[in-house]
Amino acid sequence: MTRHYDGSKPVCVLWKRADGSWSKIHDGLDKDPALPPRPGLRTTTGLFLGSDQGPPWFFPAAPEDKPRRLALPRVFPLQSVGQMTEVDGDRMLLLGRYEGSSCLWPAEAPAVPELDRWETIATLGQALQDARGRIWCNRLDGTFGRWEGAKWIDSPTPPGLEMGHAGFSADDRDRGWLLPVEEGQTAICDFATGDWRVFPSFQEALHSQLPRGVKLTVPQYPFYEPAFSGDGRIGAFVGTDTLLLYEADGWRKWQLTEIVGADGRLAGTPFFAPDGCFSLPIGETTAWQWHGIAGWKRLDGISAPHLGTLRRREEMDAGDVRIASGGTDRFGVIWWLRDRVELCKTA
Amino acid sequence: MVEGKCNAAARDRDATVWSISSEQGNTIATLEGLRWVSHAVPGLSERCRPVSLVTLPGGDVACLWEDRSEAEDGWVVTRHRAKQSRVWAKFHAQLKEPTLLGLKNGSAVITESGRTLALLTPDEEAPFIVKLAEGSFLTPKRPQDATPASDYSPIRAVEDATGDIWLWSQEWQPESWRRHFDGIVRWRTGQADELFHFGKEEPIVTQIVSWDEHRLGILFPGRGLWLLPTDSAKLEAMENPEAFHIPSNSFMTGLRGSLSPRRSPQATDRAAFFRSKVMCTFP
Repeated sequence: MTRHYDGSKPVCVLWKRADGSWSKIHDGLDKDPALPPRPGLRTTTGLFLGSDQGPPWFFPAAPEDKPRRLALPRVFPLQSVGQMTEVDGDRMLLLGRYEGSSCLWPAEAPAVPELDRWETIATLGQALQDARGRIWCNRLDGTFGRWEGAKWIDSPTPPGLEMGHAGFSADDRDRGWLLPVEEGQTAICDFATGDWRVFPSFQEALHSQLPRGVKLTVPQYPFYEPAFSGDGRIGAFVGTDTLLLYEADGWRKWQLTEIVGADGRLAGTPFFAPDGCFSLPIGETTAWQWHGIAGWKRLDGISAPHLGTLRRREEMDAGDVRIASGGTDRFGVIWWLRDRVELCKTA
Repeated sequence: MVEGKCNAAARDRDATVWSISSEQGNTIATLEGLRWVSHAVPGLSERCRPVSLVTLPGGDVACLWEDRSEAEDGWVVTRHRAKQSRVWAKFHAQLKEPTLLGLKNGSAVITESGRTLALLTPDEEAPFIVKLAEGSFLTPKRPQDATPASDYSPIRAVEDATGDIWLWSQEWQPESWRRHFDGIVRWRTGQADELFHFGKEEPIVTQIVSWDEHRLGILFPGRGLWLLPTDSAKLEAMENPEAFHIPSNSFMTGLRGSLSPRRSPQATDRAAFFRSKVMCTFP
């Protein structure tokens, strides 16, 4: 329930009715009056109750235990909880309200670790974990570091890298890519050796992956993941509006609007269709396909990988994903990546 | 974190947790360790997309799908338990933002932001679909020029302890809500029509729950929590803390709605099931 709200203090009150009378359990569930349906779940251990800001509340069944948040906001893995489901007697499933993420949480909702147990490292782009379990991150102070289980090891920065970059992404060869904002310098770190290779352009970095190609994972923006045909061609979407295609006679480049019109949308990651045609998805089952001399042709009945990555061009810069990864490394250290720029670990 | 996208989840009585996501196409996923693992659903077309997922009172999980391969307005409902999936019903209807509610007798009701309702019975693939008459959620005192709220507002449903379904409209119109009224409609198999109304103030309804074996709990903004015996139309006042008069998003749990199976409505009496209409009046 919401009492009178003037913004000066948290609002919404939890009341309990027992033996015919009401008692106030907690005053101040939310920062602001909450309008969406409030998620909640009563279990044998207590009552889990959502909040408009930060982690859900837990009201223990044992009367001697005090109500508490599930965790501190900075270490809780979800931005906002929209649904709660009991998995078994030991675990809860918590679903993010907007981002499609979910996490498991102990049903007994153990007390929150103290703030000073956590160390936060500001990063540029997401941190990556290599095949040996080491954490690599590009720190906000411009240095590179890797976590080897007991301490941070400073790692060489890419030699000759002059410009800023848009993200740090892993490929399927145990390497990390510093991706350019548009088509500029691209650096690839071999995690096995720590050595960097810097390419003057994104195109050249992609070309060097031929003939096999590479699977590059960009979790927040999968439409930036390049496509390799397997027969020597490369397709990629870069910047906010540019489509690249490499064929035997070199690179071709288009603006998205040249193909799909001013109101067109990119509905998924550009891909090579089963018939080999380079395809630009604009709907669930609609794509524009490149037919060489015949140009671009619209085709229905074709589905792209990563459907649902729909973005208007003007939305592409929106940083709307807060959580990219989280978990425990092989050294037993718990990590959370928040906002793509903060790496938190247990000290 | 659990690997993979998930927009809604539900657990069946065999403790399998199922989920749907906007990125999984026509598949449904189960929780396997720390991953969502997708499974094909036999009988679903490639262009089906999940809309709503609930656990039915019997323990199955049910999923409502929009079938975009149909010319228009195609819908499919599937059932899931113990890693097994099957199609329950396929039908056509104009539904906006549909919501699925499982009933204790094994049936399910689909409501939407409009006046169309669908009743699925356990043994029939084609649901019974009806469009409530305009004004079903409006009092007779509504001004002539008032917009029929039920054409636009989400209709929500709750089942009482005896198996009757109570529907209410969730419209919120701060400027005119007193004129546009949200009513409560009871669907009851084989009962004669009854019509009541809230009285001159025509309050909106925030939430209705099955309070106990004989009553519903109804939360009104400005009036707090009231109880409604399911066998009468007279609201019972309860002692409300002052704060109840400004409810926002209420959350009620731990209520004692008993399970009292009622036979599934048959084709012959389903028309009556949809005709019944009860509103209630403040004392």
